[in-house]
Amino acid sequence: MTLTHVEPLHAAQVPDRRRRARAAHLWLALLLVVTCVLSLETGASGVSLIGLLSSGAENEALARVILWEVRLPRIAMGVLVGAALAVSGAVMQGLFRNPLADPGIVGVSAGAGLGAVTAIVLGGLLPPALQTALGLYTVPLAAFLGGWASVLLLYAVATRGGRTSVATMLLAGIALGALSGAVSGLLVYAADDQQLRDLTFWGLGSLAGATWAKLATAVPVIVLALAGAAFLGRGLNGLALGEATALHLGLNVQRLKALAILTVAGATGAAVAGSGGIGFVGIVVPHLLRLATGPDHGPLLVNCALLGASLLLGADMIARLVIAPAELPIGIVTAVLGAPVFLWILLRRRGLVDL
Amino acid sequence: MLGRTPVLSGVDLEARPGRVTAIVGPNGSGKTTLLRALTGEIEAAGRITLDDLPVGPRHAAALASRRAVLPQATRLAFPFTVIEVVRLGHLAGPHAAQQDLPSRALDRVGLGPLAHRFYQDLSGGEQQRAQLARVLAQVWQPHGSDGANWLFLDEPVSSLDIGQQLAVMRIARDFAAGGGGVICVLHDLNLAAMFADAMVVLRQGCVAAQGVPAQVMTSDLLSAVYDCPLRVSIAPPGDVPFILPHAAGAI
Repeated sequence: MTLTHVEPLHAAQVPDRRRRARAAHLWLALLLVVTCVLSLETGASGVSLIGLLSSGAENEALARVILWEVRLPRIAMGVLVGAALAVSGAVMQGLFRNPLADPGIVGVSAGAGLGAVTAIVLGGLLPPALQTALGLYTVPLAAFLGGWASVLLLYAVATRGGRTSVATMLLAGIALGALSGAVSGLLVYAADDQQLRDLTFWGLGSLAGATWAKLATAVPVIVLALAGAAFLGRGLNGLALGEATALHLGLNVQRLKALAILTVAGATGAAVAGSGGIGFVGIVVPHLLRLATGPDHGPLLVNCALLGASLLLGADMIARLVIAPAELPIGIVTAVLGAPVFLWILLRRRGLVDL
Repeated sequence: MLGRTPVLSGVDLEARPGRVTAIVGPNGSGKTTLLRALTGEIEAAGRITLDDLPVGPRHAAALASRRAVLPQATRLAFPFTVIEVVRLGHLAGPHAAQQDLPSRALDRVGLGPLAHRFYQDLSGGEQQRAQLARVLAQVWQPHGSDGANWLFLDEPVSSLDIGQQLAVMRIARDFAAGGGGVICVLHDLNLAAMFADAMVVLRQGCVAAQGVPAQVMTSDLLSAVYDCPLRVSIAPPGDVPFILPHAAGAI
């Protein structure tokens, strides 16, 4: 046998991606604006901002209410939750050095969900003074704590000496998610009628429940988490070379990990409290952006926030339109879009996951 | 300390700038552990300083501007290109403003043409040289404003062919010749003898000998340390000792 010519397997040449990643900020911001306007214009009632402005229609008061009290808070919640989900996915993948880590897949969302359910069902057992002090923040705070505990536990189980085992992470995540789900299920039995109504509404995974009041509780946590993520870019890049090398690059690795874990917990907790468990945004968005503009976490995290917001708004429009005037839970839409992408990553990088 | 038995004990070692200090010894003698202790990666009871700067996670930022560390092998989690990996080192060092440094570092290790390839697609030896370029881009000058700069290299030539082995060791020697310090774990005694100014021989976590290669590379010492009969010779002109497995004799 004579081999005359063998093509190298993956001799891909990649141009400088730094400029492309920064240009993407602008394009994705534009996309978000367009998506917001489209989202404001679509809905079961057929009310539109343009219509309201141009005709001074007979039902002006009603149209105002629909736009201002229904669609706008929903859009704002969608933007925040979408950004939070995508950024928490990217940060978690950076922390675990693994493109398959996603709060929804490895049980962190379930942990945050358990926190939220606990707050709804057992919140009444808290001392009255504390209840009044926390007010509307009880559920988001509990979701944050549940998410935080889950990430800490997962990190402790799956990471040994600075190395994360992919198999352990995924399997531990499944167990963690199942356990959180089971306990949440148990708590539902203990709920009274009013609480059951709250739970059902919340558990659907939908932006439909968005109100200005609810939004006010989500804004501070998500904004804090996104601001925290802005400081993680360089650190997560260093961490991609391994924990030891990150240290030798001058990074405070312990503080970096603590901040990353808090960011994931904050963003996931607030997103789950705001709209229930919405899966796959955190895995699809960072993955697509890494393909397009490279894995540098500095621009990646910004782009994730922008594209995550657009994607969730888009998914919400689909959820509202497919069976209008009824609507689908948005989690179904993101799962249908996202699960195939997850499988695709898994197949492409099978070597990474082989036990 | 790993597990309950200390991997290293009573190691007293001083490396000076302007020299290549090679750490050698049999498998499992604690070479890598020593290097990791010296870089502050693992905790060691005792005192480790770089000039007057205590080595440890608390001084990571100050240390990063004067010292770079090359691990044995680096697996990357995400699809970075070769030049992007080198830039990560470059940004951590004191020369981050010098835009062309990453490309120059890649040229220095002979990887210029592969700059825009994915790191994952490189061979083991190419990955090792890409990481060396990252390390060089972090600490490019052998001498900085605070004194000598340092390279810590853990088996930098383990997956390289003989030509590249020599090229990499020359880079290390040039860095030392420029006034910088190099501490290098080596498996190959002949390379150590050729390029090191000082050798530290480890055996079961203790220093069996240290000194210039001519002092350390003796048949008796190496036979005892490696637990097999070995005979050291001297390469024709000069005083560089070398060791041939053939000369061990069929004992």
